[in-house]
Amino acid sequence: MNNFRSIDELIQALSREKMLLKEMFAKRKVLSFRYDVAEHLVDYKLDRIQYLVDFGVIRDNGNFLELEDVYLKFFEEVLEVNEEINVESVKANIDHLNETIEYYLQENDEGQKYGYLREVRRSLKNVALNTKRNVIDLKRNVDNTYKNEPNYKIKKAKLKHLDEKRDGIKLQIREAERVLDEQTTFFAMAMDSDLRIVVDDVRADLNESSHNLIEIEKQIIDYLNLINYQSQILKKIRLIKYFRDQQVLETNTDIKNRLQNMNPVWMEPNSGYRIKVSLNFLRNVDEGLSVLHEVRERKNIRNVRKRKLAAPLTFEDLAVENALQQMVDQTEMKNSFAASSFDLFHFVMNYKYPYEMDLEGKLVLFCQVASQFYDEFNITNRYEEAFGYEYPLIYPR
Amino acid sequence: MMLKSSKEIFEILSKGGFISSNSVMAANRAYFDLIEDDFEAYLEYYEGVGFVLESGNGYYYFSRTEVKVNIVDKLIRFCDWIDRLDFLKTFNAAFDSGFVFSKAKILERLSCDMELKDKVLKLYADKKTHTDVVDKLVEDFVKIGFVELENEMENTYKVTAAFHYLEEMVNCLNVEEGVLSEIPE
Repeated sequence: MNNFRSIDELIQALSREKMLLKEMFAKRKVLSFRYDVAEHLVDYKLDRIQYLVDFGVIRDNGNFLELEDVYLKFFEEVLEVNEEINVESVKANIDHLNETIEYYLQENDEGQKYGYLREVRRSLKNVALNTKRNVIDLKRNVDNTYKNEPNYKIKKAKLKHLDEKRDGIKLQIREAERVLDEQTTFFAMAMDSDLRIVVDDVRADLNESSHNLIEIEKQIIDYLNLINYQSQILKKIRLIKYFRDQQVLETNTDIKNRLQNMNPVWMEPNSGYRIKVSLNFLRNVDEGLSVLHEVRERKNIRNVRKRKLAAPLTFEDLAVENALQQMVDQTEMKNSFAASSFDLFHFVMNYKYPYEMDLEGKLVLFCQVASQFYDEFNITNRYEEAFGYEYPLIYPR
Repeated sequence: MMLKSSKEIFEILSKGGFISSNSVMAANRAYFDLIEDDFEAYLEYYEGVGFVLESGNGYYYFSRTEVKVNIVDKLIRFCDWIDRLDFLKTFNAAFDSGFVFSKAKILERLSCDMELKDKVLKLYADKKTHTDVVDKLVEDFVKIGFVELENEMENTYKVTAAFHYLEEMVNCLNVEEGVLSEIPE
C-alpha cells in the first residue's frame, strides 16, 4: 500500500474524488456500495478508483466498495456525526497529561520544560473537548435509540449499554478533576496566565458535562421505564387476549367488577338523541313553514306513488236519483210578515206552511228569520211566553 | 358564564368519542386545551346534564353515574376492543400514541404474517375480505377518536393519546392469583 507523502497530495486526492467519497460517506450505514455505482461517479475511469484503493482510502470487496475505517472515523469525528462514544480517548488523554506533568517536574532544561507545559495545556484542552463531545454524542445516541430502534429488546439493551458508557464518562470526569486538584506541585510551579485560563475553562467544561450527564441519566431512566411499561402492557394485552380466547376472562380476572363500576358513554349502543321539533318554530318562523312544505311535498310524492285506482263506476252509479227536500221560502215569509200586523212569533206559528211543520221546526224558522232579516225588523224589549218558551215581540218596521 | 365551545365538545363526547391532546385536528386540540384550563368548570357544567367528564393521560371522555348498559353488553363491547387492540399490537408492537400507519401497511403485513391472518377474520363476523375488515377496523377507531386521518393524499392515520385509554383499561385488570403459570409464552 502506498502512503500520501504530503498534506497537499492527500487533500488533492480527496478533493478530486469528492463526489465518490461524499456518496460513499452518505451510504456508510448501508453496507453495499456497488462497484458499478462508483464507476459512474468517477466518469468510468477505473484507475481513479484503483488509485484510492492503492492509497488506502477505500477498500475493494469484490463487487462492493467500502470507506477505510481511518477515513470513515476521520470524517465522522470532524463532522461530529460519530455514534461511537469513545471513553478511552479521554482516558488516554488523562494518562498522557499525567505523564507530561511528571516529565515537566523532573526536567531541568527550561526549553524542554516549556515544551512539556505546552503539551499539558494541549492535553487539558483535549480532555475537556473530548468529554464534551462524548456527552453530546451520548445524548444524541440515547434519543436516537429510543426513538428509532424498532426492536424492544435491542432498544433496552442499547440503552443499558449507553448507561454504562455514561458511567464511564462520569468516571473520566472525576479522574480529570482529580488531576487538577491533586497535581498541586505542578500547578503551583507552572501556573501562568495562559495555564490559568486553560484550567478554568477545563473546570467549567467538566462541570457543565457532569451536569449534563445527570440530565442524561434521568432521561435514560425515563426511557427505560417507558420501555418497561410498554413491554409490560404488551404482555398484559397478550395475556388478556389469551384469556378471552380461552373464554376464561371472567373467571381469571376481575373484569366484571371493573366494568360494573364504570359507565363510559362509548359502551352505550348508538346513543342518538331524538328531539321533537319545536311547534313554535313550525308556527312562527318562515323556515318552519318551508320545512312543512318540504315534508308535505315528500309525503305527497309518496302518496301519489302508493295511490290505487278505484273501481270504475257502473251504470247504476250513473243513474239519476231524485231527492225531495221541502223548504220554506224565508224571503217570502218576511214579505208577507211585513204586510201583516202580527208580531213575528205569532206570525210564524200561524203561517200557512206548504207541508206539515212541527213546533221545533217553527221555532227554528222563527230564529232564522229573526236573525236573517234583523235589520228590517223592529225588535222590542217586551217578552211574552208561549209553549213554555220566552220570546221577544218583533214587528215589521 | 358560558363555557367556550361547550356545544362542540358535547357533540363529540356525548357520542362516546374522545378528545386528545395530540389530535391532528386543530379544533380538537383547542377543545382539549379549553377543558384542561378550566376542567372544574366543564366538569360541573356537564354534570348538570348527567355526564361525568373524565380525564386521562392526554384525553377526555364522558361517563355516567347511573348504569345504562348491563354488564353482559359491556363485557361484549370491551372484548371486541380487546380483539382489536391485540390485532393492532400484533401488527406493530409500537402501535401507540403518535404512531403513524396506513391501511395499506396493515394489508401488506397481513399478506405475510400467519398470526395476523389468523386474527383478522375473527374481528368482524360479517366481513369476509381483509380489505373490508381493515376498513371497518380503521372506521371504528376513527369514530371513537383513537386514530385520525393525518394525510388524505397518502391515506395515513395517526394514533391519538386517547389510545392510552384502551391500554390502561387492559392494564388495570387484575389477574386472579395462581392462574399466571398456565399461560404459554
